[in-house]
Amino acid sequence: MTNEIVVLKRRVDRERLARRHAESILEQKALDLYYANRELRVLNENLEFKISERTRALQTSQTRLAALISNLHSGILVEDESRRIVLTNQMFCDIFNLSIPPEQIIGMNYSEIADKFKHLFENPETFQKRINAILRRKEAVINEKLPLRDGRVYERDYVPILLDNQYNGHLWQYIDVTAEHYAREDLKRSEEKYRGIIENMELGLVEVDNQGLIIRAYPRFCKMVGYTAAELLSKEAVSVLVPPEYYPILEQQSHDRLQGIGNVYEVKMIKKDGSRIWVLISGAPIFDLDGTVVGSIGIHYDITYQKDLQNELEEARERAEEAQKAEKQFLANMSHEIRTPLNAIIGMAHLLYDTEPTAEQKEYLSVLKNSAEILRGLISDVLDLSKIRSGNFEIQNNEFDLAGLVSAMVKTFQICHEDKELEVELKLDPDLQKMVIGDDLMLNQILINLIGNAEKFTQKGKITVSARVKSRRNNRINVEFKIADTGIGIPKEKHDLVFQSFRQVDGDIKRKFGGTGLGLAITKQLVEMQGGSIRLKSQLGKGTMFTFNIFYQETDTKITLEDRSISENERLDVAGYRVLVVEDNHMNRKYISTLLSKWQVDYQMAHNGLEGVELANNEPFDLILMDIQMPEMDGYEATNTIRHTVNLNQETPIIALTASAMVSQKDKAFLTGMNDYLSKPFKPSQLFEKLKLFYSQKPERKVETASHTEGGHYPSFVFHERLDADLLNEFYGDDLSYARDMFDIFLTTVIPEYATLKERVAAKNKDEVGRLAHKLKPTFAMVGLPDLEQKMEAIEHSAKGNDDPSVWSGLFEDFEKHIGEAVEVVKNDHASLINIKFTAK
Amino acid sequence: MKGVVFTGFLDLVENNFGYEMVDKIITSSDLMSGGAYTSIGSYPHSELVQLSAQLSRYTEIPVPKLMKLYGQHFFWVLAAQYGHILSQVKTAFQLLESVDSHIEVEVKKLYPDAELPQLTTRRVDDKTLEIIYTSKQKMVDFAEGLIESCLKYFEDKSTIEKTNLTKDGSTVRFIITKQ
Repeated sequence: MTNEIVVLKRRVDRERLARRHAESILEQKALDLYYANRELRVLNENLEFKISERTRALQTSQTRLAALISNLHSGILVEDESRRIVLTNQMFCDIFNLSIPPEQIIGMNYSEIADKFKHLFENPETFQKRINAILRRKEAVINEKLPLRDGRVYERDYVPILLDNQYNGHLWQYIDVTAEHYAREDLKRSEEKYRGIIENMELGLVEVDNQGLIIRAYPRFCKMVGYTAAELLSKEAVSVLVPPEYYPILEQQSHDRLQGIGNVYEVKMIKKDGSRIWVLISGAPIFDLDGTVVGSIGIHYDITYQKDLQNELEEARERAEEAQKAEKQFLANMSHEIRTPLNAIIGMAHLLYDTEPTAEQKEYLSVLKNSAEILRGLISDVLDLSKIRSGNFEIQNNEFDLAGLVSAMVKTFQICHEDKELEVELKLDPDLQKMVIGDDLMLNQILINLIGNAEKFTQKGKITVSARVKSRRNNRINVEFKIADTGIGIPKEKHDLVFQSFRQVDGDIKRKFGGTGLGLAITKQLVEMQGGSIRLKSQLGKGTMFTFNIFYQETDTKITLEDRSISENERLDVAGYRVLVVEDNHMNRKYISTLLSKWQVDYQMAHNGLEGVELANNEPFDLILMDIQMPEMDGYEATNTIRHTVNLNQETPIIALTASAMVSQKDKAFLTGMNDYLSKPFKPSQLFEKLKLFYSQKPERKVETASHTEGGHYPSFVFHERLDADLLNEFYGDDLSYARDMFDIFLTTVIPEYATLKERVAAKNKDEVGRLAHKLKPTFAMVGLPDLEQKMEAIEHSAKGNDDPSVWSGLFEDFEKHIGEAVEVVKNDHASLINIKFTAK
Repeated sequence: MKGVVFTGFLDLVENNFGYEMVDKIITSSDLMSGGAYTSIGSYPHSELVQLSAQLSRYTEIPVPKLMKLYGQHFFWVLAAQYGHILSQVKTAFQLLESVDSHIEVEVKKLYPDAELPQLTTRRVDDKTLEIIYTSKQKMVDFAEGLIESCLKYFEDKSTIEKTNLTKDGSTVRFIITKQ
């Protein structure tokens, strides 16, 4: 073989080897491929299974979703990022009146669809613009209201769809909210309607939250406080509008509001201009749907005018009360003015009985005494009534013998009627054996009124007074009193009238029997004040019976017969007693001194408080009678000085002589240290009772002979011939000191009044001249000038009649001619009387 | 080493020196494969070293020159077979830059067992490309031949500057500069 063939053979071998190598590699690769394919197929099958499972699940959820979307009560439209519609539902087609089925809409462009229905909207251009604006911003929009041309209202939501923060399209939702919208509108309208009504009613509304910040201020409220709504919004209502002094009230209110409590209250408010108004606020909590308090509403009513009016009324009431007080003061003063001379008149009348008057004089005296007593009764009735009405009448709680009081009262009337054909009978319950606690003075007055009344209307016949214990519980007894008469009786139809003030059964009776018509009215009030009641039983012509009851507290003190017989020896009991009388009034001094002399009581006279204190420093007294209203030093001050300075009478009982029956004066008297009071005018017996009362309390009885009496031997005195000596004798007998005092009174009080009369005549004041002449007239007789008395009477008569002023001024001129000379005579005799030395008996 | 390198080498020897030379260098070498190469197979690198050494002995051409010549030739073999890769780039720099990041990745997909050199490129400036070549096979001359043909293919007249970074020639820097 050649070299070439050998090489070629080797080359073929190498090629074959390389081919086999390559084939084995390829076989290996094919096998690898086969296995790889097999593995791939298995993987593929698994994958297919998984995909079909996923697809089925997806289909289910898609079916559900589709069902949900198509059944949704809102129109749904989903677009992809290029605004291609990918999902919608039937409702969408329905609410936009689209006749194509929803499947056909899918794949369309939204703007194509919108063109088909935008005309439905009230403003299609705005609708389109708004969509573009929303799409530019790509932010969720919820509950946007879209009004339709036909009145319906849709609500729209826009929700962008984001996948891994990548914008992936969006969802539109449209809901027909027409019904809800109108329901809400109706509600709002009705709310506004009522707010409007309230606003029109001049009521200012304001709403605040729980922090007190203003949420809403209504126009009327703004007008009320002068701010605009914008100025008030979010402001703290209290600090802006309320003065600090009302903060506590407001705090309480907001506390109540949080508890859900409403309330009405009054406060002042500050307006923007700084002025203040009064408002009545009705505050109520505002609740949310869960019932939680979210704030409060205040309804304000401007009550400035009413408040001003109220203040004015208050002032008017105060003025009226002032006037009433002045009236009461006037009444008290009047009682003083009237009672003082009346006291003297009655006192003098009593004393005159002791001057051995003739039968004729006795008759005059009885007329004088009765008239004065009627007058006093009238005054005290009027006073009592005014006291009861003003609430100044106080009930005393004294221990007293009830049975004794009733029998003493009956005895008084029995004595009066010994000569009359009138029998007064007493029926007393033997059970009334103990002392009781109650107001004896009131009972006295009631009995006097009722028995006096029975007496007045019973000319002939019988008055029966009875008292019995009607019931008893523990130590409280109900006592029933009966006053029955056999008099003229009261017709049934007039029964209601008898207890009324100033009413009498008829005018005829007033003329026949007199009286003020106040007695029974007062009686009724006195009974009722003590918790009792009074009633009347009467038959015309057969008689009248008054029944009343009063509750008393019974004590354990039994009454013995001796207790009732003390008065028999009363005159002796007070003899030798030493009394200091502090009194500035002439007539009262005279009255008291005469009485004390008569009872053989030793006394000293002081003309005012200062003198009284001096005397009290010098010698000890058993009792001091102290007037209240005096010059220099009044009774209160004098008492105060005696009580609080070292003197001989620091402990001596002091009795106030009050001219006023006012409780306040009595209280003041006790406060300053006085022990008792006696209201003027008083009867001799009343003064005697007081003397006796304090005398019995005296630790040791002093029996001394009187060292100073004015009663005694009088030297003879001849009056001036100008004076009517007979008349003066009739008045004064041989009691020249009495005459001296009366002359003194004439000169010091009557003459100045005469000057007043002169002025009134000059002024031609008809009424005043009549009144003054009437007043002055009797005084001339008292100093023995009956001729001047007659002249004065003529002036009075003329002035009170229809005469021309020239007539009575002529009479006065005539009177003036005589008066000067007459006064001189009285002065001379007065001086002579002073010089007479009165010696003790 | 991929069979294509052996078949390409032997084809080049046969074309230039005749099959006798191919037979001579195979038979004078101690080859495990027996000199039977297929392009889809893989063979030890040492066989290419023996074959190139025998060729150098018979032809009296130094091995580095032979390897450079082979590199210049092999570029065209690759270009004919993988023309689609070349069409994706426009310049030589782009192709060289894509070797490490793109081409070698593709090669690994087809031949997971292939041992590839590492080529790190860096643009020094617009006109200068730096390539750091690292390979256990130390086929730096082969690589230089490839680069030269690549520049020729894109009609790029750049110069190549070669610096050994290690003594054994496993890491070499090429600086390719445009004119």
